Amino acid sequence: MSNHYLATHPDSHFLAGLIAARPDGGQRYALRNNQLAIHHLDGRTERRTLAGAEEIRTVLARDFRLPLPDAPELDATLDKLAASGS
Amino acid sequence: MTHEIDLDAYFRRIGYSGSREATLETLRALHLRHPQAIPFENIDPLLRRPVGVDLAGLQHKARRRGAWGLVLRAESPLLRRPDGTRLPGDWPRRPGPVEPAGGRDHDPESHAAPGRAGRRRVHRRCGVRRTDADEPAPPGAGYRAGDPARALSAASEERRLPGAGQDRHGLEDALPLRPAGTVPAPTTRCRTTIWRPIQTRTSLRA
Repeated sequence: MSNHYLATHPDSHFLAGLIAARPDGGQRYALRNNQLAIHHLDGRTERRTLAGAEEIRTVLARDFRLPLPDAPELDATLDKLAASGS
Repeated sequence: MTHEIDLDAYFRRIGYSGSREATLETLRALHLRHPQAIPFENIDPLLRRPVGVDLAGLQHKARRRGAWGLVLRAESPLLRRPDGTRLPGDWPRRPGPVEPAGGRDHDPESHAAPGRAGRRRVHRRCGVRRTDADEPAPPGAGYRAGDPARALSAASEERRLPGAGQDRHGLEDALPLRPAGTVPAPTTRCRTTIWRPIQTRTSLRA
């Protein structure tokens, strides 16, 4: 039940922004809209601001190993997130 | 609900080629590989797409996109006993007997161990005497000995991935990773039956 509302309620942060996370051998990738963070085992954190939909797509595919859906509205959504987050 | 699922495709995606029996080693391997191969993501809710929880939808996400924890759920056909029988539907949440035959986990530093409230006990190895009333049980306590639920708990404790434990989902980047050396090392656990009731005068008379 909670999963349903998290995925559908208009106030849910899962509907308001992009969230992705993936741990790897020596680092952990975290993406919040267009803000990319790479946490390393030694405590360092690299932070980058992604420029637009194309760069977000690239990071999702390369760093998060995420096959993206063929959705025409995805690029528009990512562009909007990048514009509002920068 | 049918339990047919394309495990071969799932295992190929996470790069697992080991045993499929519900053993500690299997669960540790899956627990390590799954989040590294299948990221947490919310693209479907973001695009206002319905998130189906039917088996076909879950299988599609496991093979193509994210499906956090799918294979570790009780309905998964992976979760079979070594003899091939299926684990009960409410596994792994159903607690087992209070006193598992194989002994209990014990933290030598805190001498924390589950037990009946008010019983006085002595630690066989270090001789510490204590009364364990109202003492919190360690992770995994209360489950049957050898239960894969313990494997999940142990795997979570022993697998120290960067950024893990920062928040509920482990995905926020707002909090920096704790510097190396400040993360407490996993405790060494005794896995033998080490707690024995103290022989009191009352019990000797009885």
